[in-house]
Amino acid sequence: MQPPKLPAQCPSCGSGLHVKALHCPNCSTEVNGSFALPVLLMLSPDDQEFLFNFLKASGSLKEMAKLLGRSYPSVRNRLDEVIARVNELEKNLSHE
Amino acid sequence: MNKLFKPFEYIAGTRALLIGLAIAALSAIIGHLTNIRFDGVLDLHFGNPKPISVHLLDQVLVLGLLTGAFVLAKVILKSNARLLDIVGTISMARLPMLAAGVVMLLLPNEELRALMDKDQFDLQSNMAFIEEHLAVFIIVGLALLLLMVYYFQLLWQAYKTCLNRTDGKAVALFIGLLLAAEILSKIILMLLAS
Repeated sequence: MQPPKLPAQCPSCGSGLHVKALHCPNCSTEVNGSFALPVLLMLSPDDQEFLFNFLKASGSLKEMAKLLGRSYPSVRNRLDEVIARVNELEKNLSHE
Repeated sequence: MNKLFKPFEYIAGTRALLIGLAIAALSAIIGHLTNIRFDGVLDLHFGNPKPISVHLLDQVLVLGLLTGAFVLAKVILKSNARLLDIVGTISMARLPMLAAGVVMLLLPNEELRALMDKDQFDLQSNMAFIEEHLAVFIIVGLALLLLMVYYFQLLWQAYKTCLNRTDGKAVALFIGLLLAAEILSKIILMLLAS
């Protein structure tokens, strides 16, 4: 069974979710509050995986192209899409 | 299937340029051997025998004009496309034009040219000639139509992949610049011929 994915948006109204409680699995300490999710965690799992691989490839689009079996411009276009989503999320957060 | 219709998702840059240069060289050789001129951005023609240098010049002219059109679009759309990707994908997108040249070899070229060179256009003998080779004309016509559609698809994919834009302005620019490049190619060829 796959571990549950962190939901970033409310399934009811689509607003960004906040973290209400954090739990330490070692000593069972719990921290309660209202913590906004970082922008990177609000991206889709696919976008997060892309950025994770991009980081591991030292930010090299050429390396990413090799890794994904895609051409350089198509990888750059994919990165541009993720950047546009990050900008949009940041804009939405600043409005909230 | 995706690799056939969207090849530039997988191949671009130096690899595409090397394939494209091979396509250009083959086009020039086939053009020289068969008197087919790949001198248009959007079309090809029968022509009189010319030295191979003229056929190579045709390739340089067409690739240069297409590259110029895409670079102009890049500037207007403020894209960060690499010149290497633009030249590589454009030259590779010319593959259907090379295939169209090969398909045209199926036509009874010598007889057709002799007919076209006649001073007096004799409809009756032309009709007899067309009827005699009707199946070939239909097959070649259909194949050329499909290859032209495929050529435009590849050019659009090259444009879309390099510039990463598909909005109305980008589409209008694509169509406008292709037409402008075609017209410019005719003007340059006329100037060179004179």
